[in-house]
Amino acid sequence: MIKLSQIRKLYDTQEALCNVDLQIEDGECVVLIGPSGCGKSSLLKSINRMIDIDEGTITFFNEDIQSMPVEQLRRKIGYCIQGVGLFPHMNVKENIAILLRILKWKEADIERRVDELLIMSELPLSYKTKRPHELSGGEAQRVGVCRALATDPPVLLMDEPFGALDPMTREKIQIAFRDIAQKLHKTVVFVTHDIEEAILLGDRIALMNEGQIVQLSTPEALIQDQKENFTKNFIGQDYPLMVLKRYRVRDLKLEPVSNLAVTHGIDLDTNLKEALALCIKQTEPVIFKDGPNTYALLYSDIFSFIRGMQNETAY
Amino acid sequence: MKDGIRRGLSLILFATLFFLPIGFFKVNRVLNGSVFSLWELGYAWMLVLFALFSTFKIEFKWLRYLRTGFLIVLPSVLIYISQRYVITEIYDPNVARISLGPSIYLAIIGAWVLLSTETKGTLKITLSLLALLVLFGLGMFPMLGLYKEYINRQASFFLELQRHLSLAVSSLLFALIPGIYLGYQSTRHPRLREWIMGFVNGFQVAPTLSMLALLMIPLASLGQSFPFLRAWGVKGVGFLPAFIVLSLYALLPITSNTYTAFKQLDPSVMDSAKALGMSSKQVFSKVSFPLALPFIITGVRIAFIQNIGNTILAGLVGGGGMGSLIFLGLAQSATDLILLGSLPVVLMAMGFEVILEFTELRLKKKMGVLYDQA
Repeated sequence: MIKLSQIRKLYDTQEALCNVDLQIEDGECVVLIGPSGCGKSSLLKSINRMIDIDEGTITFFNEDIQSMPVEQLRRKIGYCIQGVGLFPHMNVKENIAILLRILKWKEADIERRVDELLIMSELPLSYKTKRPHELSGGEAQRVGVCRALATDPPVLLMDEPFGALDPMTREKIQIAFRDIAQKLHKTVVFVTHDIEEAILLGDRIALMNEGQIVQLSTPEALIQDQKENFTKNFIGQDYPLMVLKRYRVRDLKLEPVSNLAVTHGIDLDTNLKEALALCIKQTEPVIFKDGPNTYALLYSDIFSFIRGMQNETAY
Repeated sequence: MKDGIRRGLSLILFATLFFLPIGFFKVNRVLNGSVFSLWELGYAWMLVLFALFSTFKIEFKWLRYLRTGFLIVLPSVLIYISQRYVITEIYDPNVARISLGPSIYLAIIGAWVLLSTETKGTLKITLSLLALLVLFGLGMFPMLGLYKEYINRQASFFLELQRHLSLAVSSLLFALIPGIYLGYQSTRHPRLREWIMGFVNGFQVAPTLSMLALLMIPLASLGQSFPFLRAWGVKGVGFLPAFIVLSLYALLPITSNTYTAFKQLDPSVMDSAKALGMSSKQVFSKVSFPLALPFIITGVRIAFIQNIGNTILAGLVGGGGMGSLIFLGLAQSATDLILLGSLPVVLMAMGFEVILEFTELRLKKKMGVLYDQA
């Protein structure tokens, strides 16, 4: 659990962060989002003391972060940045294992851990001997995530890590990252300026502007509950449609049907926005098959699901 | 330069063998000698014809190999046949010499220019040069002025060569640690950088000779006032003033390049290292320093090459080195002695440049800094 209280940060006379309060629970993913200069990166970096704050306290699992040596704090926090920052003079294995070597792990354990991480990130084991310059952008960022996870830290700080990737790679890596983080029960603080990324990854979204948190809600709650004009303008009018991407047909918990001919090739893992688009394109209903079962999908299934989510998670 | 232009140039350079003097016979090192041309060397003109033909494009593979071999040995052959000039005057074999004429120099350049049009041209030119050096060392050009000077003072030559190298190397090593330290500190304290750069630049601007002269006074007085210092070699002349000046001059390239070396480090890489929880010592030894090293070597290379040249001036203050040969030759107006002093310096500078650049390249590849970041 990370608690930030009354955080204040000044650059010369400019206030980058002003009276910020935020509590991040174990295992949740909080996305910090906002326009450039709103202070989201500064807030993120104050957690692992890459930036020092001027006022306020930050506690990390109930310990003040100023009370422990900074290296000790940082070894419990994984950090991924847009530029990845892989060490060019080391190969992939050495990059991932660098902290493990410093902590004097046994070679066999290091080898096993690196393999584990590469398999989890869906990278071939043969990549261990590759140099960073031989990797594509997406591959490099995956290695960066492996490196951050090497010592299995409870918290991950991500500063726009997927911003430099092309849209297709970005989508794949976002989904892969979300699955890994959830499976490992990691606490994640994620900075982005892309609202769709925030919706996809965040359990809660903290919308920031000019050094303050304007609103802190779940993605669903933001459909109705927009406190400021700023919020309305930032998330945009088609925000409700974007929220659909967060869920898959599987989440609708449809009952299998029988004696109906399959009309489309989607499956239970298709996201709801695509499913809705398909409903618009075709005359209802959409009949599809996944595994042994056949399902029928209607507009109304999607709407009642979203309405249910909004009521459930209203903040 | 395009190949065609190089071939044309070589053609002209080889043609000079026909009408420019190919050598001088000198009765002693000082007096101007009698000129002789290609035509006085028997059938040597046939060689020149071959050379002229070699400038044309050749299609057959084996003929091309033949041509390459021919061009590699041509400089040695030309010098050798110039030595076969039949001397008609009475002369003292210890003192008289045959010096190379302008056409030989031009022809050698022609041969090398032509070699540069071939693949691995630099390697072939180096082979040609090595052949010359080896034959020279073996005494195959006994009447050559340069050889006469060399053989007459062989022990002294190698002594001065050793002194030259030890001065150049030791002053570099002495400036190495301070230079790297100052360069590194300049990146961390921007205000300090101005002071350091000003200090180090100031020495570069001051002419080496003046620095040497200025140093003579305090060093000499120190040596006189404190006898134990004098016993250690603190004098106005000799090894010490040259060493001090050379070290100060080596400081600038090392400091400046070390500064650049650390400044060019990718901030993403540095941030990642810090955020992983590495202490600043660990970040320095495992990340910053290895990545900066190739560029620090650049500075060392520049400083070393500079030093090899600057060490010549040590000859003026009794510090030894190739400079003593050069200045002796200047005083005695003996061209061959001047050549004997300066050619080794040029060859050493070029040789070390190649070796050190190669090392730099290997290091850059190893540190992954040769490629663009993904």
